[in-house]
Amino acid sequence: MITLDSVTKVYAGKPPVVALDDVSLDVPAGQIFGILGRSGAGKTTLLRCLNLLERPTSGRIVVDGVELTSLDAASLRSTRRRLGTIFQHFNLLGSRTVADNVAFGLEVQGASKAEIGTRVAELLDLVGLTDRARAFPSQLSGGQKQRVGIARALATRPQVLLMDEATSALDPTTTEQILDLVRSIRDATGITVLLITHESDVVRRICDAAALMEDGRVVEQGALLDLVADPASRIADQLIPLGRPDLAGIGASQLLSFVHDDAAEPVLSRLTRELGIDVSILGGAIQQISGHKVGRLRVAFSHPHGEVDDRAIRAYLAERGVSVS
Amino acid sequence: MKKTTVAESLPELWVALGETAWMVALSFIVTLILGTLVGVLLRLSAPDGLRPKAWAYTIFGGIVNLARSLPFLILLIAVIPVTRFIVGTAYGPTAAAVPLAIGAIPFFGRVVEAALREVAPGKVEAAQVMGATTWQIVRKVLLPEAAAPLVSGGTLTLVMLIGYSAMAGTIGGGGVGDFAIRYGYQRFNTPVLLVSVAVLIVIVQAIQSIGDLIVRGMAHKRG
Repeated sequence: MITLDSVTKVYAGKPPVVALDDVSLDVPAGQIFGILGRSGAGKTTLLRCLNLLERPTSGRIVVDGVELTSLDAASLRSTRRRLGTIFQHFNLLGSRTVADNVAFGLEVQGASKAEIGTRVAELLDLVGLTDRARAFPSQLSGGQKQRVGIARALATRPQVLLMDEATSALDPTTTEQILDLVRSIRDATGITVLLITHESDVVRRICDAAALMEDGRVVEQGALLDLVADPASRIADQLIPLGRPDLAGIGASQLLSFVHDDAAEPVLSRLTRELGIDVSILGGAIQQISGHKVGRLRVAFSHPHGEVDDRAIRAYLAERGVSVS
Repeated sequence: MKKTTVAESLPELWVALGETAWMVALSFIVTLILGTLVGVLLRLSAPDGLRPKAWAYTIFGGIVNLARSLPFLILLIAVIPVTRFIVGTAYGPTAAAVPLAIGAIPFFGRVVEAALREVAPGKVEAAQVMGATTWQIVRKVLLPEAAAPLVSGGTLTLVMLIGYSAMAGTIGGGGVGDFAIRYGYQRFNTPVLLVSVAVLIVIVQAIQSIGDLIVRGMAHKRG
Protein backbone atom coordinates (compact mmCIF):
# COMPACT_ATOMS: atom_id res chain seq x y z
CA MET A 1 0.00 0.00 0.00
CA ILE A 2 2.86 2.37 0.88
CA THR A 3 6.25 2.05 -0.76
CA LEU A 4 9.22 4.28 -0.15
CA ASP A 5 12.09 3.80 -2.54
CA SER A 6 15.44 5.35 -1.59
CA VAL A 7 13.84 8.49 -0.19
CA THR A 8 16.31 11.16 0.79
CA LYS A 9 15.57 14.55 2.27
CA VAL A 10 18.29 17.13 2.69
CA TYR A 11 17.67 20.54 4.22
CA ALA A 12 19.89 23.19 2.72
CA GLY A 13 22.12 25.05 5.14
CA LYS A 14 25.64 25.13 6.41
CA PRO A 15 26.26 22.32 6.82
CA PRO A 16 23.26 20.71 5.02
CA VAL A 17 21.15 18.50 7.28
CA VAL A 18 20.36 15.03 6.00
CA ALA A 19 17.01 14.26 7.63
CA LEU A 20 16.29 11.14 5.59
CA ASP A 21 19.13 9.08 4.21
CA ASP A 22 18.15 6.56 1.53
CA VAL A 23 15.03 5.26 3.27
CA SER A 24 13.20 2.33 1.72
CA LEU A 25 10.09 0.88 3.31
CA ASP A 26 7.24 -1.33 2.28
CA VAL A 27 3.96 -1.30 4.17
CA PRO A 28 1.46 -3.96 3.03
CA ALA A 29 -2.25 -3.09 2.87
CA GLY A 30 -4.20 -3.52 6.09
CA GLN A 31 -1.15 -3.51 8.34
CA ILE A 32 -0.41 -1.34 11.31
CA PHE A 33 3.18 -0.34 10.77
CA GLY A 34 5.17 1.46 13.45
CA ILE A 35 8.24 3.58 12.95
CA LEU A 36 10.19 3.70 16.15
CA GLY A 37 12.98 6.12 16.89
CA ARG A 38 14.22 8.84 19.15
CA SER A 39 13.48 12.47 18.44
CA GLY A 40 15.70 13.71 15.65
CA ALA A 41 15.87 10.30 14.03
CA GLY A 42 13.89 11.52 11.00
CA LYS A 43 10.48 9.99 11.77
CA THR A 44 8.61 13.27 11.51
CA THR A 45 10.31 14.18 8.24
CA LEU A 46 9.37 10.78 6.88
CA LEU A 47 5.71 11.33 7.76
CA ARG A 48 5.74 14.86 6.36
CA CYS A 49 7.12 13.47 3.10
CA LEU A 50 4.29 10.94 3.03
CA ASN A 51 1.53 13.54 3.22
CA LEU A 52 3.70 15.82 1.10
CA LEU A 53 4.00 18.65 3.55
CA GLU A 54 7.64 18.23 2.55
CA ARG A 55 8.96 17.14 -0.82
CA PRO A 56 11.73 14.56 -0.71
CA THR A 57 15.01 15.62 -2.28
CA SER A 58 15.19 12.34 -4.18
CA GLY A 59 13.52 8.95 -4.24
CA ARG A 60 9.99 7.75 -4.91
CA ILE A 61 6.94 7.50 -2.66
CA VAL A 62 4.08 5.39 -3.96
CA VAL A 63 0.77 5.18 -2.09
CA ASP A 64 -1.87 2.83 -3.45
CA GLY A 65 -0.25 2.82 -6.87
CA VAL A 66 -0.01 6.63 -7.11
CA GLU A 67 3.43 8.16 -7.16
CA LEU A 68 3.11 11.17 -4.88
CA THR A 69 6.36 12.79 -5.85
CA SER A 70 5.25 13.46 -9.43
CA LEU A 71 1.82 15.03 -8.76
CA ASP A 72 0.75 18.55 -9.71
CA ALA A 73 -1.05 20.72 -7.14
CA ALA A 74 -4.63 19.70 -8.03
CA SER A 75 -4.04 15.95 -8.13
CA LEU A 76 -1.93 16.29 -5.01
CA ARG A 77 -5.00 17.68 -3.21
CA SER A 78 -7.26 14.88 -4.37
CA THR A 79 -4.64 12.27 -3.50
CA ARG A 80 -4.22 13.75 -0.04
CA ARG A 81 -7.86 12.95 0.62
CA ARG A 82 -6.93 9.28 0.40
CA LEU A 83 -4.55 9.76 3.32
CA GLY A 84 -5.88 10.67 6.75
CA THR A 85 -3.51 12.21 9.28
CA ILE A 86 -3.85 12.56 13.03
CA PHE A 87 -1.48 14.75 14.98
CA GLN A 88 0.23 14.78 18.36
CA HIS A 89 -1.31 18.15 19.21
CA PHE A 90 -4.65 17.31 17.58
CA ASN A 91 -4.70 20.53 15.48
CA LEU A 92 -8.47 20.89 15.75
CA LEU A 93 -10.05 24.18 14.74
CA GLY A 94 -11.10 26.06 17.88
CA SER A 95 -13.66 28.11 15.97
CA ARG A 96 -15.62 25.02 14.95
CA THR A 97 -17.73 22.56 16.89
CA VAL A 98 -16.76 18.90 17.10
CA ALA A 99 -19.20 18.06 14.29
CA ASP A 100 -17.92 20.89 12.07
CA ASN A 101 -14.32 19.82 12.68
CA VAL A 102 -15.17 16.31 11.51
CA ALA A 103 -16.96 17.81 8.50
CA PHE A 104 -13.94 19.83 7.34
CA GLY A 105 -12.46 17.33 4.90
CA LEU A 106 -15.86 16.68 3.32
CA GLU A 107 -16.58 20.39 3.10
CA VAL A 108 -13.38 21.19 1.20
CA GLN A 109 -14.05 18.45 -1.31
CA GLY A 110 -17.51 19.88 -1.90
CA ALA A 111 -19.79 17.21 -0.40
CA SER A 112 -23.47 18.08 -0.03
CA LYS A 113 -24.93 19.14 3.34
CA ALA A 114 -26.98 15.94 3.61
CA GLU A 115 -24.00 13.77 2.77
CA ILE A 116 -21.87 15.58 5.37
CA GLY A 117 -24.57 15.24 8.04
CA THR A 118 -24.88 11.48 7.59
CA ARG A 119 -21.16 10.83 7.46
CA VAL A 120 -20.39 13.04 10.49
CA ALA A 121 -23.08 11.32 12.59
CA GLU A 122 -21.65 7.93 11.56
CA LEU A 123 -18.10 8.95 12.53
CA LEU A 124 -19.06 10.52 15.85
CA ASP A 125 -20.83 7.29 16.68
CA LEU A 126 -17.71 5.33 15.71
CA VAL A 127 -15.49 7.31 18.09
CA GLY A 128 -18.15 7.54 20.80
CA LEU A 129 -18.65 11.31 20.79
CA THR A 130 -22.22 11.63 19.53
CA ASP A 131 -23.26 13.53 22.65
CA ARG A 132 -20.43 16.07 22.23
CA ALA A 133 -21.22 17.01 18.62
CA ARG A 134 -22.11 20.62 19.54
CA ALA A 135 -19.16 21.10 21.92
CA PHE A 136 -16.06 23.13 21.05
CA PRO A 137 -12.60 21.52 21.20
CA SER A 138 -11.67 23.63 24.25
CA GLN A 139 -14.39 21.84 26.19
CA LEU A 140 -12.94 18.37 25.52
CA SER A 141 -10.31 16.25 27.28
CA GLY A 142 -7.13 15.25 25.43
CA GLY A 143 -8.48 11.78 24.67
CA GLN A 144 -11.73 13.22 23.33
CA LYS A 145 -9.80 15.69 21.17
CA GLN A 146 -7.84 12.84 19.62
CA ARG A 147 -11.09 10.96 18.98
CA VAL A 148 -12.28 14.00 17.05
CA GLY A 149 -8.94 13.97 15.23
CA ILE A 150 -9.48 10.34 14.25
CA ALA A 151 -13.07 10.97 13.11
CA ARG A 152 -11.90 13.96 11.08
CA ALA A 153 -9.08 11.98 9.44
CA LEU A 154 -11.46 9.17 8.47
CA ALA A 155 -14.21 11.43 7.06
CA THR A 156 -13.13 11.13 3.44
CA ARG A 157 -12.73 7.33 3.71
CA PRO A 158 -8.94 7.28 3.22
CA GLN A 159 -7.09 4.05 2.50
CA VAL A 160 -4.21 5.09 4.71
CA LEU A 161 -4.13 6.57 8.20
CA LEU A 162 -0.94 8.37 9.24
CA MET A 163 -0.40 8.90 12.96
CA ASP A 164 2.16 11.50 14.02
CA GLU A 165 3.02 10.71 17.65
CA ALA A 166 -0.74 10.64 18.08
CA THR A 167 -0.70 9.42 21.67
CA SER A 168 2.41 11.16 22.98
CA ALA A 169 0.38 13.95 24.61
CA LEU A 170 -2.00 11.53 26.32
CA ASP A 171 -1.86 9.66 29.62
CA PRO A 172 -1.26 5.87 29.56
CA THR A 173 -4.90 4.82 30.00
CA THR A 174 -6.15 7.21 27.32
CA THR A 175 -3.30 6.09 25.06
CA GLU A 176 -4.48 2.49 25.34
CA GLN A 177 -8.07 3.48 24.55
CA ILE A 178 -7.01 5.45 21.48
CA LEU A 179 -4.75 2.64 20.24
CA ASP A 180 -7.49 0.05 20.73
CA LEU A 181 -9.87 2.30 18.82
CA VAL A 182 -7.40 2.54 15.93
CA ARG A 183 -6.97 -1.21 15.87
CA SER A 184 -10.70 -1.86 15.89
CA ILE A 185 -11.11 0.61 13.00
CA ARG A 186 -8.38 -1.21 11.09
CA ASP A 187 -10.03 -4.55 11.79
CA ALA A 188 -13.39 -3.22 10.59
CA THR A 189 -12.25 -1.28 7.50
CA GLY A 190 -8.93 -2.81 6.49
CA ILE A 191 -7.29 0.64 6.47
CA THR A 192 -3.49 0.70 6.39
CA VAL A 193 -1.98 2.52 9.36
CA LEU A 194 1.48 4.03 9.52
CA LEU A 195 2.42 5.51 12.85
CA ILE A 196 5.55 7.13 14.17
CA THR A 197 6.36 7.05 17.84
CA HIS A 198 9.17 7.09 20.34
CA GLU A 199 7.18 4.88 22.73
CA SER A 200 7.82 1.15 22.45
CA ASP A 201 4.50 0.57 24.29
CA VAL A 202 2.62 1.84 21.24
CA VAL A 203 4.41 -0.55 18.90
CA ARG A 204 3.95 -3.44 21.33
CA ARG A 205 0.23 -2.78 21.68
CA ILE A 206 -0.98 -2.42 18.10
CA CYS A 207 1.71 -2.85 15.46
CA ASP A 208 2.02 -5.81 13.10
CA ALA A 209 5.35 -4.65 11.75
CA ALA A 210 7.89 -2.01 12.66
CA ALA A 211 10.98 -0.18 11.55
CA LEU A 212 13.66 1.41 13.66
CA MET A 213 15.07 4.75 12.56
CA GLU A 214 18.35 6.27 13.58
CA ASP A 215 20.10 9.32 12.13
CA GLY A 216 17.74 9.44 9.15
CA ARG A 217 18.21 5.78 8.26
CA VAL A 218 16.03 2.73 8.70
CA VAL A 219 18.35 0.39 10.58
CA GLU A 220 15.93 -2.49 11.00
CA GLN A 221 12.49 -3.42 9.75
CA GLY A 222 10.20 -6.41 9.62
CA ALA A 223 7.15 -8.16 11.00
CA LEU A 224 7.06 -7.81 14.75
CA LEU A 225 7.04 -11.54 15.47
CA ASP A 226 10.03 -12.11 13.19
CA LEU A 227 11.89 -9.29 14.87
CA VAL A 228 11.31 -10.50 18.41
CA ALA A 229 12.31 -14.04 17.37
CA ASP A 230 15.70 -12.65 16.45
CA PRO A 231 17.83 -12.36 19.59
CA ALA A 232 20.07 -9.81 17.90
CA SER A 233 17.19 -7.48 16.96
CA ARG A 234 17.40 -3.98 18.40
CA ILE A 235 13.68 -3.48 18.04
CA ALA A 236 13.16 -6.63 20.12
CA ASP A 237 15.51 -5.17 22.69
CA GLN A 238 13.32 -2.05 22.90
CA LEU A 239 10.05 -3.98 22.99
CA ILE A 240 11.21 -6.52 25.57
CA PRO A 241 14.12 -4.91 27.40
CA LEU A 242 16.23 -7.12 29.64
CA GLY A 243 18.23 -4.41 31.30
CA ARG A 244 22.02 -4.44 31.26
CA PRO A 245 23.21 -7.03 33.79
CA ASP A 246 26.79 -6.93 34.98
CA LEU A 247 28.22 -9.85 33.01
CA ALA A 248 31.76 -9.68 34.31
CA GLY A 249 32.99 -13.01 35.66
CA ILE A 250 30.10 -14.98 34.28
CA GLY A 251 31.67 -15.76 30.95
CA ALA A 252 29.70 -16.22 27.79
CA SER A 253 26.00 -15.46 28.00
CA GLN A 254 23.35 -16.06 25.44
CA LEU A 255 20.04 -14.49 24.54
CA LEU A 256 17.10 -16.80 23.95
CA SER A 257 13.86 -15.74 22.26
CA PHE A 258 10.65 -17.68 22.75
CA VAL A 259 8.02 -16.67 20.25
CA HIS A 260 5.66 -19.58 20.09
CA ASP A 261 2.68 -19.82 22.31
CA ASP A 262 4.33 -22.69 24.13
CA ALA A 263 6.74 -20.14 25.62
CA ALA A 264 5.39 -21.34 28.91
CA GLU A 265 6.56 -24.89 28.21
CA PRO A 266 9.44 -25.90 30.49
CA VAL A 267 12.02 -26.04 27.67
CA LEU A 268 14.95 -24.96 29.81
CA SER A 269 14.32 -27.31 32.62
CA ARG A 270 14.16 -30.24 30.19
CA LEU A 271 17.30 -29.01 28.47
CA THR A 272 19.29 -29.10 31.67
CA ARG A 273 18.03 -32.56 32.49
CA GLU A 274 18.53 -34.09 29.07
CA LEU A 275 21.90 -32.51 28.24
CA GLY A 276 23.18 -32.54 31.79
CA ILE A 277 24.20 -28.88 31.91
CA ASP A 278 23.53 -25.99 34.28
CA VAL A 279 21.73 -22.79 33.33
CA SER A 280 22.09 -19.44 35.09
CA ILE A 281 19.32 -17.00 34.32
CA LEU A 282 20.70 -13.45 34.11
CA GLY A 283 17.57 -11.64 33.01
CA GLY A 284 14.27 -12.24 31.37
CA ALA A 285 10.90 -10.84 30.45
CA ILE A 286 7.68 -11.96 28.81
CA GLN A 287 5.45 -9.58 26.86
CA GLN A 288 2.28 -9.82 24.88
CA ILE A 289 3.14 -8.80 21.31
CA SER A 290 0.72 -8.86 18.38
CA GLY A 291 -1.47 -11.11 20.50
CA HIS A 292 1.32 -13.61 21.14
CA LYS A 293 3.25 -14.30 24.28
CA VAL A 294 6.89 -13.56 23.61
CA GLY A 295 9.74 -14.15 26.01
CA ARG A 296 13.40 -13.16 26.00
CA LEU A 297 15.88 -14.67 28.36
CA ARG A 298 19.56 -13.99 28.97
CA VAL A 299 21.28 -17.12 30.23
CA ALA A 300 24.72 -18.58 30.74
CA PHE A 301 25.30 -22.30 30.24
CA SER A 302 27.89 -24.26 32.14
CA HIS A 303 28.80 -27.94 32.48
CA PRO A 304 29.40 -29.47 35.94
CA HIS A 305 32.45 -31.50 34.79
CA GLY A 306 33.55 -30.35 31.39
CA GLU A 307 32.95 -28.39 28.25
CA VAL A 308 29.57 -27.08 27.19
CA ASP A 309 28.54 -28.53 23.85
CA ASP A 310 27.26 -25.35 22.25
CA ARG A 311 26.15 -27.05 19.05
CA ALA A 312 24.02 -29.56 20.92
CA ILE A 313 22.33 -26.82 22.92
CA ARG A 314 21.55 -24.80 19.82
CA ALA A 315 20.17 -27.80 18.02
CA TYR A 316 18.05 -28.76 21.01
CA LEU A 317 16.59 -25.25 21.37
CA ALA A 318 16.10 -24.66 17.64
CA GLU A 319 14.09 -27.87 17.44
CA ARG A 320 11.73 -26.41 20.02
CA GLY A 321 11.38 -23.05 18.29
CA VAL A 322 13.72 -21.08 20.51
CA SER A 323 16.27 -18.84 18.81
CA VAL A 324 19.70 -18.40 20.31
CA SER A 325 22.02 -15.47 19.76
CA MET B 1 -21.45 88.79 20.24
CA LYS B 2 -23.48 86.52 22.51
CA LYS B 3 -22.08 83.03 22.93
CA THR B 4 -24.20 80.12 21.75
CA THR B 5 -25.50 78.10 24.70
CA VAL B 6 -25.10 74.34 24.80
CA ALA B 7 -28.83 73.94 24.21
CA GLU B 8 -28.71 76.18 21.15
CA SER B 9 -25.81 74.26 19.70
CA LEU B 10 -27.49 70.87 20.07
CA PRO B 11 -29.19 70.69 16.64
CA GLU B 12 -25.89 71.40 14.98
CA LEU B 13 -24.18 68.82 17.22
CA TRP B 14 -26.63 66.15 16.01
CA VAL B 15 -25.83 67.01 12.41
CA ALA B 16 -22.11 66.83 13.23
CA LEU B 17 -22.58 63.47 14.89
CA GLY B 18 -24.37 62.18 11.83
CA GLU B 19 -21.49 63.35 9.62
CA THR B 20 -18.94 61.67 11.88
CA ALA B 21 -20.96 58.45 11.90
CA TRP B 22 -21.18 58.48 8.11
CA MET B 23 -17.52 59.15 7.35
CA VAL B 24 -16.31 56.74 10.01
CA ALA B 25 -18.72 53.97 9.02
CA LEU B 26 -17.93 54.32 5.33
CA SER B 27 -14.18 54.36 5.83
CA PHE B 28 -14.39 51.54 8.39
CA ILE B 29 -16.23 49.23 6.00
CA VAL B 30 -13.77 49.97 3.20
CA THR B 31 -10.88 49.48 5.64
CA LEU B 32 -12.23 46.13 6.83
CA ILE B 33 -12.51 44.80 3.30
CA LEU B 34 -9.30 46.17 1.81
CA GLY B 35 -7.29 45.90 5.04
CA THR B 36 -8.23 42.23 5.35
CA LEU B 37 -7.18 41.72 1.74
CA VAL B 38 -3.83 43.44 2.38
CA GLY B 39 -3.28 41.45 5.60
CA VAL B 40 -4.09 38.12 3.93
CA LEU B 41 -1.80 38.88 0.98
CA LEU B 42 1.00 39.87 3.35
CA ARG B 43 0.54 36.70 5.41
CA LEU B 44 0.39 34.39 2.38
CA SER B 45 3.43 35.89 0.66
CA ALA B 46 5.53 36.02 3.86
CA PRO B 47 8.61 33.74 3.92
CA ASP B 48 6.78 31.31 6.24
CA GLY B 49 3.42 31.79 4.51
CA LEU B 50 1.41 29.44 2.32
CA ARG B 51 2.60 31.06 -0.92
CA PRO B 52 5.99 32.54 -0.05
CA LYS B 53 6.99 35.22 -2.54
CA ALA B 54 9.86 37.34 -1.36
CA TRP B 55 9.40 40.12 -3.96
CA ALA B 56 5.66 40.49 -3.33
CA TYR B 57 6.13 40.55 0.43
CA THR B 58 8.89 43.15 0.19
CA ILE B 59 7.00 45.43 -2.21
CA PHE B 60 3.68 45.08 -0.36
CA GLY B 61 5.29 45.56 3.02
CA GLY B 62 7.19 48.57 1.70
CA ILE B 63 4.04 50.30 0.46
CA VAL B 64 2.27 49.58 3.74
CA ASN B 65 5.18 50.95 5.77
CA LEU B 66 5.41 54.02 3.58
CA ALA B 67 1.72 54.81 4.04
CA ARG B 68 1.96 54.23 7.76
CA SER B 69 4.95 56.49 8.22
CA LEU B 70 3.18 59.53 6.71
CA PRO B 71 1.62 61.78 9.36
CA PHE B 72 -2.14 61.65 8.86
CA LEU B 73 -2.40 65.42 8.35
CA ILE B 74 0.06 65.22 5.43
CA LEU B 75 -1.76 62.24 3.97
CA LEU B 76 -5.02 64.13 4.28
CA ILE B 77 -3.76 66.89 2.00
CA ALA B 78 -1.68 64.68 -0.25
CA VAL B 79 -4.62 62.49 -1.30
CA ILE B 80 -6.95 65.37 -2.20
CA PRO B 81 -6.54 64.65 -5.96
CA VAL B 82 -7.39 60.99 -5.33
CA THR B 83 -10.45 62.03 -3.35
CA ARG B 84 -11.57 64.33 -6.16
CA PHE B 85 -11.15 61.48 -8.60
CA ILE B 86 -13.15 58.99 -6.52
CA VAL B 87 -15.86 61.17 -4.98
CA GLY B 88 -15.88 64.14 -7.34
CA THR B 89 -15.21 66.67 -4.57
CA ALA B 90 -12.75 67.07 -1.72
CA TYR B 91 -15.32 68.50 0.69
CA GLY B 92 -17.90 66.90 2.94
CA PRO B 93 -18.05 63.72 4.99
CA THR B 94 -18.13 61.33 2.03
CA ALA B 95 -14.95 62.86 0.65
CA ALA B 96 -13.35 62.69 4.11
CA ALA B 97 -13.89 58.93 4.14
CA VAL B 98 -11.27 58.54 1.38
CA PRO B 99 -8.21 59.77 3.33
CA LEU B 100 -9.57 58.05 6.44
CA ALA B 101 -9.67 54.70 4.66
CA ILE B 102 -6.29 55.24 3.02
CA GLY B 103 -4.83 56.02 6.44
CA ALA B 104 -6.43 53.04 8.17
CA ILE B 105 -6.00 50.29 5.54
CA PRO B 106 -2.23 49.81 6.04
CA PHE B 107 -2.68 49.85 9.82
CA PHE B 108 -5.48 47.30 9.76
CA GLY B 109 -3.56 45.28 7.18
CA ARG B 110 -0.69 44.83 9.64
CA VAL B 111 -3.20 44.00 12.39
CA VAL B 112 -4.68 41.26 10.18
CA GLU B 113 -1.24 39.95 9.23
CA ALA B 114 -0.21 39.71 12.90
CA ALA B 115 -3.51 38.04 13.86
CA LEU B 116 -3.16 35.43 11.10
CA ARG B 117 0.44 34.74 12.10
CA GLU B 118 -0.81 33.69 15.54
CA VAL B 119 -2.83 30.80 14.07
CA ALA B 120 -0.95 27.60 14.95
CA PRO B 121 0.87 26.24 11.86
CA GLY B 122 -0.40 22.76 12.75
CA LYS B 123 -3.98 23.82 12.07
CA VAL B 124 -3.01 25.01 8.61
CA GLU B 125 -1.15 21.76 7.97
CA ALA B 126 -4.15 19.75 9.12
CA ALA B 127 -6.25 21.58 6.52
CA GLN B 128 -3.58 21.07 3.86
CA VAL B 129 -3.41 17.33 4.37
CA MET B 130 -7.21 17.21 4.09
CA GLY B 131 -6.82 18.63 0.60
CA ALA B 132 -7.91 22.23 1.23
CA THR B 133 -6.93 24.87 -1.33
CA THR B 134 -5.14 28.05 -0.24
CA TRP B 135 -8.37 30.04 -0.56
CA GLN B 136 -10.26 27.45 1.52
CA ILE B 137 -7.56 27.63 4.19
CA VAL B 138 -7.85 31.43 4.31
CA ARG B 139 -11.64 31.34 4.55
CA LYS B 140 -12.15 28.28 6.76
CA VAL B 141 -9.02 28.21 8.92
CA LEU B 142 -6.97 31.42 9.08
CA LEU B 143 -9.74 34.03 9.36
CA PRO B 144 -12.10 32.11 11.70
CA GLU B 145 -9.24 30.94 13.95
CA ALA B 146 -7.96 34.51 14.22
CA ALA B 147 -11.43 35.94 14.88
CA ALA B 148 -10.72 37.20 18.41
CA PRO B 149 -7.55 39.18 17.59
CA LEU B 150 -9.25 40.41 14.40
CA VAL B 151 -12.17 41.83 16.40
CA SER B 152 -9.85 43.53 18.90
CA GLY B 153 -7.79 44.89 16.01
CA GLY B 154 -10.99 46.09 14.32
CA THR B 155 -12.05 47.88 17.51
CA LEU B 156 -8.65 49.54 17.69
CA THR B 157 -8.96 50.66 14.08
CA LEU B 158 -12.48 52.02 14.58
CA VAL B 159 -11.37 54.11 17.56
CA MET B 160 -8.39 55.34 15.57
CA LEU B 161 -10.72 56.31 12.71
CA ILE B 162 -12.84 58.42 15.08
CA GLY B 163 -9.70 60.22 16.19
CA TYR B 164 -8.59 60.76 12.58
CA SER B 165 -12.10 61.91 11.63
CA ALA B 166 -11.66 64.97 13.86
CA MET B 167 -8.62 65.92 11.81
CA ALA B 168 -10.33 65.20 8.52
CA GLY B 169 -13.20 67.37 9.71
CA THR B 170 -11.05 70.45 10.05
CA ILE B 171 -10.11 70.45 6.38
CA GLY B 172 -13.71 70.34 5.25
CA GLY B 173 -15.05 66.98 6.30
CA GLY B 174 -17.46 68.20 8.97
CA GLY B 175 -18.33 66.01 11.95
CA VAL B 176 -17.93 66.31 15.70
CA GLY B 177 -14.24 67.18 15.59
CA ASP B 178 -14.91 70.06 13.22
CA PHE B 179 -17.83 71.15 15.40
CA ALA B 180 -15.71 71.13 18.55
CA ILE B 181 -12.98 73.18 16.94
CA ARG B 182 -15.36 75.74 15.41
CA TYR B 183 -17.38 76.30 18.55
CA GLY B 184 -15.14 75.41 21.38
CA TYR B 185 -11.77 76.54 20.12
CA GLN B 186 -12.30 79.28 17.58
CA ARG B 187 -15.16 80.93 19.53
CA PHE B 188 -13.78 80.19 23.01
CA ASN B 189 -17.06 78.50 23.91
CA THR B 190 -15.80 76.13 26.60
CA PRO B 191 -19.16 74.55 27.58
CA VAL B 192 -19.89 73.50 23.99
CA LEU B 193 -16.33 72.24 23.61
CA LEU B 194 -16.71 70.13 26.75
CA VAL B 195 -20.02 68.68 25.60
CA SER B 196 -18.62 67.66 22.23
CA VAL B 197 -15.55 66.15 23.89
CA ALA B 198 -17.84 64.27 26.32
CA VAL B 199 -19.84 62.92 23.38
CA LEU B 200 -16.64 61.63 21.74
CA ILE B 201 -15.52 60.01 24.99
CA VAL B 202 -18.86 58.23 25.38
CA ILE B 203 -18.76 56.97 21.79
CA VAL B 204 -15.18 55.68 22.06
CA GLN B 205 -15.91 54.01 25.41
CA ALA B 206 -19.01 52.36 24.00
CA ILE B 207 -17.16 51.03 20.95
CA GLN B 208 -14.29 49.69 23.06
CA SER B 209 -16.70 47.99 25.50
CA ILE B 210 -18.70 46.36 22.72
CA GLY B 211 -15.50 45.16 21.07
CA ASP B 212 -14.20 43.71 24.34
CA LEU B 213 -17.54 42.05 24.96
CA ILE B 214 -17.48 40.34 21.57
CA VAL B 215 -13.90 39.14 22.12
CA ARG B 216 -14.77 37.84 25.58
CA GLY B 217 -17.81 36.05 24.18
CA MET B 218 -15.58 34.22 21.70
CA ALA B 219 -13.02 33.35 24.35
CA HIS B 220 -15.75 31.99 26.57
CA LYS B 221 -17.03 29.70 23.86
CA ARG B 222 -13.71 28.63 22.43
CA GLY B 223 -11.38 28.94 25.39
